[in-house]
Amino acid sequence: MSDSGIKSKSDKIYQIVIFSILVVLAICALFPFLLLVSSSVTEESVLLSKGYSFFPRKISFYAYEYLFKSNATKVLRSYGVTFFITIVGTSISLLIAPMLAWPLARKDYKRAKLVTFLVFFTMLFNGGIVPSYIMWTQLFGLKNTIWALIFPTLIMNGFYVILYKNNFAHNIHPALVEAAKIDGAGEWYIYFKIVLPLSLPIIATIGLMVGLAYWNDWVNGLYYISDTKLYSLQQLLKSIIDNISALASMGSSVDTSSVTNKMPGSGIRMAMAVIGIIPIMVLYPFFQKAFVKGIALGGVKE
Amino acid sequence: MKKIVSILLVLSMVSVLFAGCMQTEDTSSNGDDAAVNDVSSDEGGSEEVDEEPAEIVVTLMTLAPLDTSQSDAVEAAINEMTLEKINTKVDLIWYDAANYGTQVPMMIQANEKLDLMMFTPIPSASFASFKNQNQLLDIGDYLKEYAPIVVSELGTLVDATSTPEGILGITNQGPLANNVTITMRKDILEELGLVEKAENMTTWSEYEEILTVVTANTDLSGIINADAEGTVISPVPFMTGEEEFSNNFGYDQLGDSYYLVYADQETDTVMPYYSSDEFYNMISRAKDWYDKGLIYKDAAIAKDYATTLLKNEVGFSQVNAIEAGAQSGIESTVGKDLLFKAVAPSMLQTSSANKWGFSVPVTATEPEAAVKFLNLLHTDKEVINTLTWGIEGVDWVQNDEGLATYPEGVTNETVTYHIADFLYGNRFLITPWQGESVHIRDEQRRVNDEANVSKYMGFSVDTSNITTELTACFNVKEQYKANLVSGSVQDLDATYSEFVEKLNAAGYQAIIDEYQRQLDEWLAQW
Amino acid sequence: MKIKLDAYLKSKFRMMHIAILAFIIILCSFFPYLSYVHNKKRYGMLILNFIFGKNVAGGSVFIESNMFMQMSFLLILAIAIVALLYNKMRSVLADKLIAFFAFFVLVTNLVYILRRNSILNELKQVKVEYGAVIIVLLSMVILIQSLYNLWKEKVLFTLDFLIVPGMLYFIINNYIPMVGILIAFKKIDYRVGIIDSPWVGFENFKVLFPQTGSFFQSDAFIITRNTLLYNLAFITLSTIMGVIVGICLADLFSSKWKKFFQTSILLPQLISMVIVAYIGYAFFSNEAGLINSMLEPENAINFYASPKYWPFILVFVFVWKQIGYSAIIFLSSIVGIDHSLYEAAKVDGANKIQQISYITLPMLKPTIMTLVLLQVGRIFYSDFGLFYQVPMNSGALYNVTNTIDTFVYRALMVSNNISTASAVSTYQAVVGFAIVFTVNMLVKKFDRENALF
Repeated sequence: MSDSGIKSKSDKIYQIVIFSILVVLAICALFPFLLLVSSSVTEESVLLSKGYSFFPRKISFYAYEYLFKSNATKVLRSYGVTFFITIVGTSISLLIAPMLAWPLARKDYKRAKLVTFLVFFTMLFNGGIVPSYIMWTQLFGLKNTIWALIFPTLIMNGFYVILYKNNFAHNIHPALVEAAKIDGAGEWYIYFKIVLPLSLPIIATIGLMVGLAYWNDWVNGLYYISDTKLYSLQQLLKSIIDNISALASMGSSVDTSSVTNKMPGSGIRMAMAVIGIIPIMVLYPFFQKAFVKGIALGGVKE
Repeated sequence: MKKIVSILLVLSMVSVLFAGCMQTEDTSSNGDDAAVNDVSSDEGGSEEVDEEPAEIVVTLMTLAPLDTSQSDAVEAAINEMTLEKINTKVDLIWYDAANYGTQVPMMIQANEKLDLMMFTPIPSASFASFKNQNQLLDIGDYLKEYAPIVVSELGTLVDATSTPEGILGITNQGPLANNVTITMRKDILEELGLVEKAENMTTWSEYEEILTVVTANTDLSGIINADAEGTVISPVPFMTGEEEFSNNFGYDQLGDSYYLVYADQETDTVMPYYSSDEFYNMISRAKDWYDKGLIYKDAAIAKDYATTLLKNEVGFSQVNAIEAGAQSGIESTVGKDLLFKAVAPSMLQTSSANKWGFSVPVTATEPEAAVKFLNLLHTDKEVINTLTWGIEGVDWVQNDEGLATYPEGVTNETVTYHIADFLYGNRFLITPWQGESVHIRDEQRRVNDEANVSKYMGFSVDTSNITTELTACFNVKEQYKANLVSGSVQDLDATYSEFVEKLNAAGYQAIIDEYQRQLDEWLAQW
Repeated sequence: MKIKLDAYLKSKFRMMHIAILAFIIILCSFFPYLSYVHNKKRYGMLILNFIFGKNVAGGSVFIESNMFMQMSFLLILAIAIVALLYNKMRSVLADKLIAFFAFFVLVTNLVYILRRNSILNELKQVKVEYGAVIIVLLSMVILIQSLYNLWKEKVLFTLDFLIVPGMLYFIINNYIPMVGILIAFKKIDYRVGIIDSPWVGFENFKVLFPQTGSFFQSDAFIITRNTLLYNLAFITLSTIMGVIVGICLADLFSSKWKKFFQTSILLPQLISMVIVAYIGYAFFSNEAGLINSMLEPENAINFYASPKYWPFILVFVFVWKQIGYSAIIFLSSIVGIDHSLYEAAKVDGANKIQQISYITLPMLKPTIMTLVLLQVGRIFYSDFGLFYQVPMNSGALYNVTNTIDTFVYRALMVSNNISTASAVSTYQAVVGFAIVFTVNMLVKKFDRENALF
């Protein structure tokens, strides 16, 4: 929509308007980060007595020291785990989810309505964590393996499938499919060589959402992982925070000094949050390039 | 072709039926249809003594996440000992506090192999929670056979983890009394010349005076909250409403983990805690002090509390129940000089003895081996020291005073394995860590002997008839308590009467009646 | 090669090979299926033992005859019979039967092999022997063969095969555990296990509807009201704002700024609600909060004890977090709109507002409708982190922050009762389903295309 260039005055006004809206939103979105980063480098006692502020009142890197000096291996390993599951999980998802959605978008597929309903149904009903846990643990033996962080729940979601389906239905013209069939193309060919290339924007979008879901997930770790070697970044964060609370609540009535002296303060939470976000912030621009490219390619019609 | 196949099919069906029949008839025959290379067929009859070691799975809680490289050596060492002493292989699984409450209950729900587990103060993995869901095995008989010393040492304390049906768990042994103590920053007191006054305090008003001086002269909050529920001056289970310290006391909460009831020892009556005058006095005082600016303003909701706030110069003092002998440890955690002033003695009761301990879940497959291991935790110094401090010589050594300490060159940061000493089994057997007095174990035993023991020790209520009311009252409590006890409530009387009204509507009286009924029954037995 | 295959398929002995395979499987009854260790010696067991029952391990353990294994064996026979009678029946029916039977046999044996340790938990070191492996492999072959036939007969289409990986995941991850819904109707007794626990009907659902007091004051009403109203606000606002922002991003001329804004609005997604709660605390706390430090002491607001601010705070936080996703979804739809439409509109003299109203919005309608319908389906669910962590679990705010999920969590914190948890989530699911079904039907009446199903 923006390729015709800015010509008239009304165009200019329009650009100013939308720019302002976006600026306001960006500020709203970003200022908490300022708070986050500044509190991660504030000394703990100041943090607790004077509260959080946009500019650190007293700089201290104790939180980062704790994380990268005494816990370096734990933190680095959890980075590794998180990267691995994000990449592998997202790849699997991008492979099978659109593949499921494509036939559903075809008007000439007889079972489309039934399968769409079955997919949607999974979004509403679930049996709870206990049956899932029993199944994944006893039938598939996933407990304390890296696969427990990849397979349960996160690979595919009815929500994504329906989004794909809608996007395919509206962007891939049936005439295109007809033409390909006349030329002798089989269904697999149509899917891989026609549908996918045309759908890069939606695949990029949902890929991003799946990736972020893997990056942020700590629930699978909570249920299936007790071996600290397999902690993801978020699980490590949660573990450190929860242990701080547990110790604090016990420490005022029993003698926990032998353990507490190893425990960091509360600014650690903020520091961990920051290190959880930084890789994404660094990588996102690269991902953006692919996204924009996909949009450019996908925009060609007829 | 088809014919041949059909005939073969019929033949095979017949022979299968035949073979099947043979199997069920003769259970001790040498099944000759199982002709395989290195696999011999089943022989029935004669039973050899099973020499194979039993295998058990034990779940332990730690206070910090443990790497398997740290715990593998300890597990191996323990296994050496257990194979030798009780012919058992032990698979130890350590969970940190964050995961224990989620994963261990799930193991029971999913019927995974679990033979011995800790119960903890974490609500979802507490003794009460396991008991109420009927997840605990009665180990009375096993204890008699494999752990008689433990039972006799515990004496009446065992009743705290038992029901009329049987013994469901064994509490860790250690000092169980915890007295309400006011913990104050000694250095501030010295600065302001208040040390003597603090040491000789006998009433709450004197404390108030000290607080007023402190808040006027420093940036600190007078009192900070001691827990996540906003408690500033009314820790449970204690009555601190009376002006004179000597009139404050600990009460027996009759095993009610929601602190809704207490028992009047003189009249054997069950009373509601939240609608009592004492409670009203306590919250009035809190409100009064809050308005005067003596209480931490975020006491009702703060996520950081107690020692964290003291350590970081946010608060000057806290009021809560401290375990005997924990003072030096707390001082070292806070990192400043502290003055401890006792306010009210505790009452040793059922809930003192079911906070930390071990139980056998109903899903266990090797309960005898589990109890044998439990016995080791309570009687074997070598086992319990290894499980707590790690491998002798690597993670700890005994110094000349007879205390445990880090070996040459090992520090807090570099030690591989180091857990706290109140978690596993018999604390009295564990070599005290450096920093404690050499005689601390004797002191701790004395504390237990000298403590006030409630008349109702061992009494616990079966709550199955009142679970709805309990949940409803719990919800009401969650809604109102923090604001009331921290003094941050706007209109005390209005909110308080609302609170009591809602409790009554939720079935408070029904709970009282049920407790009274069961208490009377229990007393009648003596 | 192809000609030979067709000829073969049309030949009379088309299914002979299946019959032969089935026969081999029967023979496998005589091969060891599983083995175990007893008294330091390894003993073999046959599939027959599972069918008829047997005493093993010197009499100390009794293997019961198992219904599934019996069925499996009978089905193998059935496969053989159908294969032999193939030419007498309609081939499509025969293939369907064989596929079905083979699938059952495959799954049963696979489950037995995978779950051998828990089924035979009294035996030690159970190992899989080659008899079992052969059965699994051969039944897989039979299954593939019959599926291939069905495909040739145009009963199955290639598109059907495309959906297999995805549906397989849904069956494993979502449908199999759905049996857990039954837990909502049982009272779990751990001594006998979940399967044998007694049924108690709707008893567990009562936790949502306490008996005392008027309904409108009851917790059930409050939490339902809160959940519904918040979700309505969320759906409305995130749609409207998402569309607006999506259009803004799409139309922005400078691609550098575009990248920057896109990244920024996505960032809140990366902060977990626990941290968001701390950031909120930084603003709202009494002692050192940013807001209170700017106000005069007498005007200080105790946010965590004043319910009236929280609906706005929570809605703001939700939209703040969510807007990245919504905007990007709409953005990717907008980008797919044909540019020539806009060119044509410009030629006709339409200004921006008109272009948006007459082209962009209608083209977005399907996406909007889909998203709204999907969110409506989950209208009884709420983001736990948002309603529990951000208000710092402050009791004074319960009336405006308690949702069904937080209510259940608080109740379960004390009882850890999975039956209750299951009952509540079943309640949420059933009501959500009823609502979305109704809305979907209404949508169908007006706009057939955009209904979900």
